[in-house]
Amino acid sequence: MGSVSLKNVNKSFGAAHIIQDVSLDIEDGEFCVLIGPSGSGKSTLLRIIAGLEEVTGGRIEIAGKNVTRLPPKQRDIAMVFQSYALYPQMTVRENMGFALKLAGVPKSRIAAKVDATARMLELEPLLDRLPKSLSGGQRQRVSMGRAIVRNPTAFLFDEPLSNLDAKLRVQVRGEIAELHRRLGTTSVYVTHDQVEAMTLGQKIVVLRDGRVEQAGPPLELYDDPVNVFVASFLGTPSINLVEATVAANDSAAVALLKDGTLLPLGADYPVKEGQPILYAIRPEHIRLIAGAEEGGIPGSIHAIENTGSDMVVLCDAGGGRMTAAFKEQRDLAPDQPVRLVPDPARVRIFDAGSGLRIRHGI
Amino acid sequence: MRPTFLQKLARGAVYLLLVIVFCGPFWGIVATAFDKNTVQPGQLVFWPSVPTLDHFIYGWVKVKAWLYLFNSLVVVIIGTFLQTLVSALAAYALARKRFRGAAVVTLVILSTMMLPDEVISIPLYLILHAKLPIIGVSIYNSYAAMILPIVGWAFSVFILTEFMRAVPRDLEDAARVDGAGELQIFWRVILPLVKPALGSTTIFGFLMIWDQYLLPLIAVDKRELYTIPVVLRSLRVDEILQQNIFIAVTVIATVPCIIVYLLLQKQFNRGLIAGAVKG
Repeated sequence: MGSVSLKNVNKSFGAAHIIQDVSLDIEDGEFCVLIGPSGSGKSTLLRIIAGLEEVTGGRIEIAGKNVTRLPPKQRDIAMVFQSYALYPQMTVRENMGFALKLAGVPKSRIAAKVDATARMLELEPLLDRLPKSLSGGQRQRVSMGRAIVRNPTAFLFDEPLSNLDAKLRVQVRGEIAELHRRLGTTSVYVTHDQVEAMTLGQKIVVLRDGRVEQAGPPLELYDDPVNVFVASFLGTPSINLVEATVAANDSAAVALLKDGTLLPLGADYPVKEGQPILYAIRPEHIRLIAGAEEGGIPGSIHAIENTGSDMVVLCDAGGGRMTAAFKEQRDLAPDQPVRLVPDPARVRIFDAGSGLRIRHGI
Repeated sequence: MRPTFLQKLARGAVYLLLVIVFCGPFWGIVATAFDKNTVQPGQLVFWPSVPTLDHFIYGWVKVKAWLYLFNSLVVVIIGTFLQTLVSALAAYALARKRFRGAAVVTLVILSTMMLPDEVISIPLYLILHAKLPIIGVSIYNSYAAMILPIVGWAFSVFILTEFMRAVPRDLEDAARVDGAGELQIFWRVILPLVKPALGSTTIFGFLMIWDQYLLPLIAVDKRELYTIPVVLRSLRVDEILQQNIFIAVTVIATVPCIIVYLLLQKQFNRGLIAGAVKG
């Protein structure tokens, strides 16, 4: 086991600057998730850590050793691929033992390690089968087994659940989390699924256009995003971003929404009157009032998405579309007039121009 | 709808006609080779009137078919092995590596398919005669002269390149992460996955080398180095030699091809259909 550290890593393909000055420290035993939209460079960054792509600049350290110019086999890492990448001509047993065989490990030790890993992953009945006769979930487990059997310094996962159906994805996600708890191996996990990121990661790194937008524990990113991109990328349903301008109301600043609603911001925001801002509130931090109470943002229900466990209500409010989400089942109907009351403690303010967070008292 | 009796009969007749067209000539030479009665050039028998092995024995011992067969086997075995190896390595580089000038290399390889053998025969003859640097001898009149020019074969390079391109890149990356070097990736991961294509190109290569006539003709002039096709040509115009003996040597010449086909039949057929069923 060991830490993984990236220092000012850059990668260009011709004129395209794919990875831009990325610095990142992943602690020994930490589960780090790289997340971002397509083209954000997350898979490239993982391949750089694996040694499958060369960097144009910067330094990569694994377990304190500079591996920047070393080939993958000298980095002591194991990788799980989205496509599983199992060798079709080899049985499960041969697939799992391939790396050890290449390393010159004696056959008896390979057999013992493969058997132990197969037991752990409940792969024993599949050991003599070829990958083509396995289901997607089984293939992914074999792919993980192939990584585990090597006992590497770090595991690299490249969107390992993308090819699985929704139910299997939840199951394998749980298995990965359980494995990490048991093995405690440093893991770097690439995904574009924020649920995977939130549930698996001890640290989440949000990437956009090859840059790190924010890195930190999942709830920190969720509750305390540094910019609009991070705020909107994490969370389902997505955070409400309502266009507003700052207005003065006695001594405290208020947000003036497009529909004329005034919402208190608090006294200590460093904002100027007339400044365009984005008033952000997550759907679960909105109280939906169906009665004739005062306060909040007036609107009407546009649509209701009821998943059984959650109710997601889309409303026309605040001069645009807003979403409220809650657990309880309520008797609501489209076009019904409602008021959306944001929890003031959970409101986040972003500068409309730069998209950067405006914090209290800065 | 099930075919009627007449339809079945018509289909059977077509099949029979095809079998006669394709197998008839071969049957004719086999039957003639075993026939004691001498035939005239251009004549074949349907059934040996008096069966005998005399023509085979004469051809084997007196005409020294064994020697020419041996020469052919040396050229074809070493040639096919080297051709397959070189083609597979070249295909691996073209399919899996990005390098400057790859398009030019492909074009150069492709251009070798565009020139008929006759066009390159004189330059090739001159090259084979030229003395090699350092050692100061030419390879003319040696097995090497018949083997080296056919080691690079564009056809098998292209077939294998296409098959290797279809191997997912993730497999190569996985092998690299697993600790495989370049040759190990080639040998243990890529090559086993293109086995059907390798089987086909090996058979095609074997037949191509076995059938070579012009190259051995310009590469050697010592009779003891002649290969079967060259010697068959000289026997064909030998007016003293009995026609049945010539035909018996011809039958001997086909035996290795039939054996190779039977041995690699499975690979060959899989290779032919592999492209059609790949998802």
